[in-house]
Amino acid sequence: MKILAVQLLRLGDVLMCVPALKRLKEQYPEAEIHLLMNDSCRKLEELLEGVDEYLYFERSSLQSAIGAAGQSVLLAHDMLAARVRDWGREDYDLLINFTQNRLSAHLCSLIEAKRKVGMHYSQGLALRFNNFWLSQLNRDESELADGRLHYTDLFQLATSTGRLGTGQLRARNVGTSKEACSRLVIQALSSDTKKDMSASFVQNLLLKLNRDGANFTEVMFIGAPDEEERLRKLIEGFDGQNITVRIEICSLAEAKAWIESSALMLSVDTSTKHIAAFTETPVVELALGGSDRYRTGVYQEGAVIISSQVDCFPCSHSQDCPLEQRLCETELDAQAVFEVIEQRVQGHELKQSEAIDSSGIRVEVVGYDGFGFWYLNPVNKARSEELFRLQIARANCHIEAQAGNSRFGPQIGHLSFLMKEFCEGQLEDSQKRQFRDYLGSMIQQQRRRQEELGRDLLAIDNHSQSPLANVGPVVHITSQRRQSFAVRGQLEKLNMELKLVENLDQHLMEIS
Amino acid sequence: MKSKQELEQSLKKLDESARKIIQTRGYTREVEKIKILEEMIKEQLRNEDSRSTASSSR
Repeated sequence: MKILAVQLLRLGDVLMCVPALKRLKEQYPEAEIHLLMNDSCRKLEELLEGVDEYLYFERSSLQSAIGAAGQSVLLAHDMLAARVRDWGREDYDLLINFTQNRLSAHLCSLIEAKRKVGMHYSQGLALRFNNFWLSQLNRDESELADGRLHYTDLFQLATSTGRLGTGQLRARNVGTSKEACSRLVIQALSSDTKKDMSASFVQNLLLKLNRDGANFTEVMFIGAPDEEERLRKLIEGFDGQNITVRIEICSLAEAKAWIESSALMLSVDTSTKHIAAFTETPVVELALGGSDRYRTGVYQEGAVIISSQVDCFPCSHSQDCPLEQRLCETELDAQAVFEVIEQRVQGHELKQSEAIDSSGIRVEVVGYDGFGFWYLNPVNKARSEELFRLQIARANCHIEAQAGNSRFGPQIGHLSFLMKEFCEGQLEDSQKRQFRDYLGSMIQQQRRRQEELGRDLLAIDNHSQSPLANVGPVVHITSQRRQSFAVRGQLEKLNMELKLVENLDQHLMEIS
Repeated sequence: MKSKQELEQSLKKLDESARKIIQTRGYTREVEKIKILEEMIKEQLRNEDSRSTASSSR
């Protein structure tokens, strides 16, 4: 079996696919997995594992051919045709497009594969996804049932069922392990200047670290070769007595080694934060400009994301900031960021402080819910009302996915997780009300749909034939057309989970 | 490097070619290739979502 995974965006987007690629390999251990990405992502080869072959879309040379003076675009056309011919010879069984742009959709239409999922055109007319989760990539928040599913979660859900989790990322051929020390490693720049740290912020932070910090002896700014000059300007003139400040221009694999040997990483929204997520080193992310923290925030439990509360944040990804000084960056108080860093590196549970409270910044902590979904929770709150609403929306999203998808799996698990919490009395009163309302509306909705379609989709019912009948009226999931072993297996699994729940009947009686 | 005007002209020509092929032979693989080139020109003209461009890597 041959599988082609396509990711034609940037380095960070490819890195967010790592857990999904790992799951693909687990699901199809005998399969050969090929990864098609932009040629500018070549350097990722030394970091990724589990990919059998790399294919490159030579975007830069194609664009040069199009853009060359006196050159016909036919040259680019012929180059592209040759490349597509080569890929077509691979005879792929499955193509998964993790990208959400039209270019990738056209390209995926051209590449031969027995089955295609993710954005592609069907005979040039209809945009197809053949996968609920990947269809969510291209939707605005208002259209999305949830709107805040992390891309890494979406990619994983698109490839397999079961609990979500992180993937491994190993530098294969880099033996440059660094000596561990009390180092703060900082990624201050990105490919988008709107997301970068400013010189004044960096200088203020260094002053705090030098004067009040007791946890770091070294501050290292890492960057790509083309960032060296800008990095020098950021730290220009700083002279600290208690900390050493240095710049390290390095490859991605070396960056990973530096991060691994550091006590903490402070990063803006760029690829190295995704690399850091695969290490044990705690991460503090500064989400500035167009950073979409809900979809692309650092994928690491306990990581902290700091963002501004100004109304224009996050701004549009593709537009320049019209202001001379970005408001989201101006609001970033170095004292507050310093306090977050100090608390995080000491391993303490993050607490609000006067500086954080008065700074106008938002501090959120990354967690994973019972089903492995990535979420952000405001500091000092066990579970915010907003987050709970979000979890319900996600459960609903699962149910919606199931209605249009023949696969049963995570959707059931997620709902049963919420129900278990509900039944075990782990929810606050207001959360219980929300969950009851949700279940009530879901029952009505499913009954309406059932009537329309003339078949069972999902019902909460006291079904005597259900394998779950012995635990009383429970979530009964069936489809008359799909009484497969897989479904039965999932029901049995759900049954086992629900058996753990006490007083289920009583709680469900209350709902009805 | 072609000027912005030249790129816009190329885009227009590609669009016309694609339309003619669709009218005479339907939506063929040639059209898909032309569409890809169009998308890449749009990126160069910066009138598309910048997420579709790739940043320089280390």
